[in-house]
Amino acid sequence: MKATTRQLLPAYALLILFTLVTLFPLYIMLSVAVMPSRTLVSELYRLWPTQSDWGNFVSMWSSLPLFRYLLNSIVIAGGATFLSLLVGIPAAYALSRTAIVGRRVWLFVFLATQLFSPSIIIVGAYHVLAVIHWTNTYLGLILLDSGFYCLPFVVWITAGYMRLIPTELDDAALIDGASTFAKLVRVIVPLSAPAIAVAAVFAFIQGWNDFAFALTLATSSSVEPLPIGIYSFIGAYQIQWNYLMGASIIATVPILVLFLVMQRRLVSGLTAGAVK
Amino acid sequence: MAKPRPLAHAVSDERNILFRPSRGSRLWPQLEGYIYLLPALLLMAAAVGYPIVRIVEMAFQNVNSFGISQGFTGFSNFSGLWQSGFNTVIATTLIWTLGTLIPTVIISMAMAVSLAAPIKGQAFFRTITLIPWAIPLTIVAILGSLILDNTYGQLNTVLQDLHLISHPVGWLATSQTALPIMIIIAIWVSIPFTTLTLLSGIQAVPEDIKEAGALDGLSPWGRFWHITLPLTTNAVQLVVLINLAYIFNSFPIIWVLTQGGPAETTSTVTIFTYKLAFTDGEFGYAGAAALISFLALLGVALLYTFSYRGKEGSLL
Repeated sequence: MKATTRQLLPAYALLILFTLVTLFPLYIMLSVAVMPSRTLVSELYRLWPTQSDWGNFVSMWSSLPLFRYLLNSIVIAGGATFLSLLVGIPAAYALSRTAIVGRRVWLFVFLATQLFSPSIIIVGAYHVLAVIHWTNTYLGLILLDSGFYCLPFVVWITAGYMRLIPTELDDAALIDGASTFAKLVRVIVPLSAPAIAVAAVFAFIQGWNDFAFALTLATSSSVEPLPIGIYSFIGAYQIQWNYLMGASIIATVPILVLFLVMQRRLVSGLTAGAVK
Repeated sequence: MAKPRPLAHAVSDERNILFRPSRGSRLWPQLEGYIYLLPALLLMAAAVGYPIVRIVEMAFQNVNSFGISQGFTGFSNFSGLWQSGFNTVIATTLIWTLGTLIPTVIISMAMAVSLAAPIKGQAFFRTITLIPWAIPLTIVAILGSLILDNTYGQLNTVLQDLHLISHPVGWLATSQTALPIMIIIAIWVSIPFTTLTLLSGIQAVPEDIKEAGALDGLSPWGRFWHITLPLTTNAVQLVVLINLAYIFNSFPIIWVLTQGGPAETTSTVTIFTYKLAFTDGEFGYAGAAALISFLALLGVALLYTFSYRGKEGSLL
């Protein structure tokens, strides 16, 4: 069943078209990021700018509070990842390896939270966070990010994996007199390390990409994560597009790298094996 | 370590009682898991449960912008919604959701079949397919507001160079182009997940079945229609459900590019709800709109999930 080149022509055409459409905005991002500030206004529309200044990647750090934004993003996404793993791993254990009542119901509830838009969750959450002064704090963002974006992924990914660990291993631990807690910590968590790593990466990406929560809760640059910080400069009288694109590259590269590293696991992670 | 530590022993004995009471108990194993589940349930209750209860509460109350209730109002928030143009918002949401979902699934299926074919540069095209997904959505939208700008946007430059347009187009400022151009962006960012999920569905089709189809003299189209498609229904259902929720609920693209404008023509239900709350301070209306949109989505999603239930490979 060898396919002829002619039969494969439509496949190549489609993939090449998609490649061009995808590389164009990336090219614009890079080409604008290296436009010198003095020619920016006159040359922004150009596809092939006459001059370039790679020094922008240095000077943008002092023109925008980029370092602060980056730190905020790391603290918020990292905090949300940590919190969701801390409570999500025991939950996954309970839902995959104990005789718990309501296993399916709870798994469904975790999944069903994803039917809400974060921009709607924040409508309900806003007032109480304002009353307890958790707006413009890391805490408020970490709480919402971890509970809404991260936890369901952590629970589904790790529970799906833990379920496949043979029960003989628990029984062996039980004979040794270990409590269920010791069993979780000494047997199940180490054996689930690959799934936990995948879940952690997913949680981090989700926390990093949040828009609605940070848009509403973070109004000061002391807590604004990187994407929101960049967004706050849009609509200014004179937009420093070169620096904003440089900052956008900084906001994209870590996530892009994580995606490339995880390439093979992305789909199975997100769909919890429901495809095959 | 010479001295005994009675306190520690007491604690550990107590823990044993907590975790392993009499071996004969039947109830205990069914409840023990809740000790491990509880922290996650508390976090979920705080981050999702409470806001939802609050939304339901606000939907039936007159709430000021500080969130203080001024009494129950029955269904008047719901009827008030219709006077503020909610029917247009529903229409826009339908166009946005279906206009993105249907092309996404069709294009992604074509992409997945192409990636599964014995083409050269498979790894390269797979990686490229991943890229729109790997850029944070906020950054995609910000990049869009640069490329689509009517005075310096580079899309106009390309189209003018190709002589497809004679004058710069204000893509986001005109109501005829604002929604379609954002739908195209939404399709572009939805393709990666959809394609890769469908691809893994296609790759799970046993090789001998595909070969049997080829031996039977089926054309490539016939093989797709009679073999690939029926054997990937699981994957298709899954991408429809997940995309439905994500597109329906999507927020950053429209918020960054138009905030629902021009003249509210791109206001989907999420944009409309957010504006009711945080621009107009009408939290009661926002609650009502949120509740309606959630129930609509939940209804569709439940239909889908129950058609799934119990199928092989699903945790539920």
